Amino acid sequence: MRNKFIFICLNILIVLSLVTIAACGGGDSPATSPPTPTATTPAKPAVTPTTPAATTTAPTTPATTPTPDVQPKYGGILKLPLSAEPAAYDLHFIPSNIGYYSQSIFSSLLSFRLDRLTGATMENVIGDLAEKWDISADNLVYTFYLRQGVKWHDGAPFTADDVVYSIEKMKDKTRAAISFYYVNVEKAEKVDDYTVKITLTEPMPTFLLTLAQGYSAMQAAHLAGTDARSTDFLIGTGPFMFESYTSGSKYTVVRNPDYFKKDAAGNQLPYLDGVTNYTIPDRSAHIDAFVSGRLDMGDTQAGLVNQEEYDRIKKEAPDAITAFTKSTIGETFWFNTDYAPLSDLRVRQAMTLLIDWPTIRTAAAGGPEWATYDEGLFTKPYGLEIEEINKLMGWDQPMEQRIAQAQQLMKDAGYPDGFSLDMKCMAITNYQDMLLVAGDLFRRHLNIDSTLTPIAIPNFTATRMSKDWQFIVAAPITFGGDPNDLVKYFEKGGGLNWLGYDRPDLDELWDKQGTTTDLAERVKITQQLEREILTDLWVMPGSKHTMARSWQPYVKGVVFTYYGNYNDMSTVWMDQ
Amino acid sequence: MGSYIFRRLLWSIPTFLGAVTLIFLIMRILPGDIVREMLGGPDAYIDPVTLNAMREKLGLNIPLWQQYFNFLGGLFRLDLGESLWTGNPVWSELLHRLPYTVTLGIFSMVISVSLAIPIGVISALKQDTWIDHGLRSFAIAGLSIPNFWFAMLLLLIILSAFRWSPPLEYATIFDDPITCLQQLFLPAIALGFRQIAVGARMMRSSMLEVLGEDYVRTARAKGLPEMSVIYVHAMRNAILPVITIIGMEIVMVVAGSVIMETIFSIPGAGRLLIDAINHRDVVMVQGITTVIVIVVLTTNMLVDIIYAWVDPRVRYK
Repeated sequence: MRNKFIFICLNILIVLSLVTIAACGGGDSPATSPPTPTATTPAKPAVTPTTPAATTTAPTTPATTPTPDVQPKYGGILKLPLSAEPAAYDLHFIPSNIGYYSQSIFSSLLSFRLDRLTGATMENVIGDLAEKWDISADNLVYTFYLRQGVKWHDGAPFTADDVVYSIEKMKDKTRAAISFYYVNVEKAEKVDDYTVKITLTEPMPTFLLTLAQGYSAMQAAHLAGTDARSTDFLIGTGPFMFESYTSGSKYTVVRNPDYFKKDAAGNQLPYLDGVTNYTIPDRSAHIDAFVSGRLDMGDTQAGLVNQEEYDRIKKEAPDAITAFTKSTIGETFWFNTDYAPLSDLRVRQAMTLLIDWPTIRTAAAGGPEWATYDEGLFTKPYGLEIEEINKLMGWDQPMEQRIAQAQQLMKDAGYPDGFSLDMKCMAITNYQDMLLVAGDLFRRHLNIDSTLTPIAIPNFTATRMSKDWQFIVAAPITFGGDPNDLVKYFEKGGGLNWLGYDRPDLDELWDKQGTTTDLAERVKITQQLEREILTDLWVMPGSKHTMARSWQPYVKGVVFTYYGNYNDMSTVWMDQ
Repeated sequence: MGSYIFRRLLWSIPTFLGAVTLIFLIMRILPGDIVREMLGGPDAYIDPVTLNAMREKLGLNIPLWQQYFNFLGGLFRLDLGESLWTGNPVWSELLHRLPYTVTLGIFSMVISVSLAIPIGVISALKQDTWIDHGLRSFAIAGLSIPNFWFAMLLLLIILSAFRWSPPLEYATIFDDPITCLQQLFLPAIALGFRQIAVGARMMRSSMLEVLGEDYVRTARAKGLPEMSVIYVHAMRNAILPVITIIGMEIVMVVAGSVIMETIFSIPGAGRLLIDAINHRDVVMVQGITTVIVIVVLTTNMLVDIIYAWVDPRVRYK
């Protein structure tokens, strides 16, 4: 009997000690001071015409980037983590993680200024492989003058043939998933070895922005047909050259000694000898490796995603630098109006009135600072001012008033006792948390009894398109925040119009904004579009999540942007 | 013995075919599509023309029955096919990753066997003392704590105490034994914890049973030294069921390596399997699981053969 008692006590002791150790190791003590991530909010650009009305030549853009305050040091291999390996290396297919492998290898015809974090807007567009360009008076012909003396990583010269090949490839549906961005491109012609003429079927105000995106990579014509799954494909003109890839382990690129860019002081870029990306699938293992000093930079894909991760970095790597910026991707709630209660605008309005994004973000990420709430469906300057959006949604009133109004609306619609609601989202914790909070608000104030079904990520598009849902959270994907990226979600027949939204008058507006070259005029159209869409309320405006990235204090020159060449390491150096 | 092995081999064929057919069908039921993965992920808009062009390129447009017979035909030619994800032969991908998994498996088995047997023996010899209770508690902890949780706990403890995490550069035991040990000792302990528990408990009960046998009493009565009684007479018989258990636990090591390799970012075959599933690379998943089926079938057969070899009383008909 005594022995049994000792045995049981020992077991309890072991379990208790393990739990205690776990609690000490994993759960950090509360943060001493609440971090207040200061999101780098893009400044509102001046309303100026995006493209000139007459034939003009853009000023020659020097191939320089700003000089760091102190003299940068050359050398060193930067160590980064990556969550997953790419399915292929072709940027024209834009898989989410390809950029992290391929973007340092390839260059685009145009690029964005890295010293101005004001967004992927026209005034930030600079030349990359193109030194300058002309635009015809009718905005249909673009002539690009290419940088001379640029070499592919295999030594072949970069010429107009490569640009023609790349443009033709990008507009070909069978060879590029980004072909819809190039749907207005009629043809690309070589004028001479260093001049290319691109003709559009109709004006396209976003054409230069599209060319400046990282996915619009120039690829070598002499390597046409190379399997994009093979590392042989990785021949570009970018700052780094592919060196080695060990499946499941690491991917290394080394400095391109012939890279065509220099900093303002005339120093050859890049400064680093190379970059090694280690494949670390587990998120907490990223942070383990970072705080133990095995990595120079934290996760460059998702970054830090919530307060808990940020607190851990602050506690375990107090010297690390963490920067914050605003994403162009905003999580948004969508209504299925095929479902009877939701077909009634008053019900949608009632549910919308209860939504409080800072509360929802707090539940999902641990704090309201992990998102910004100053835009609706469109980014600035295209979208409505937040005051107007709040007024449209009824969010400008105190919560008590909103609740009372919502309950009255439900009564008027004939649903005073609520109804049942089928909520679905991708099986991502943050999304589930958002819907749980929303569902709780609906239940408490409107008697709506909701069930939440997380859907496996690969199945979500099919679920969404089949309309086998009533209320979902999803983020429309925009690359630079241009309104044109949203056409496919709202235009009749749009590839991602899972709502079945059908407003022929708005379709006309969508088409019009896509061909209007005057920014002020375009803003007027997009604001009208947003006003109409939000009045219909098949979708409610969301909030844009804050992105955070950490790096060691000796890593300098990091440019943390959410657009364009988002993982550019050409200006990074290590002060070691 | 020869005829027994032959019959076991024959019986393995339907088991093998059943398993690979099941794998083939399950991979076709799984949600997701490698073509979507390659063309922008599940959330991206892909033009149907682009989707079809890629499907055609990867040979995914042919009928299912034809894909199945191509797969079986490949197996008979010892060809596991070409990965849809990487474009390389599955064999070459697997051969690159297997050394890490095999090393991890061997490490964990060495650790578990070298601890399980002494723990079991000591526990049996010190039955119902505080040493026995302590060791049994340790064994029960090994059985009841999920190995992925134990692995993360180990990582956290080491990180908190020493600001140390395993190196990111991987090396095989032949290339750089020190780095290899640094990388694998934590996952090997985490993976082996369960095997230690299972082996120790089996060893203890088996040893207790044997220690009560007449021949052990006779050996003691003859005045043989205690060490000789234990190690020569008792342990040899007591170890037989432990061998069976260890053999069966190899299967658990293979399964556990999938989780350990993910937690510790080891580029082994287990991680390759997870990556292949994430990429919806049906050919790769089929190939890896086929190899796992072969390993499991072979291991079970080898255990039976070793059992017969260790215990001459065992005769197979």
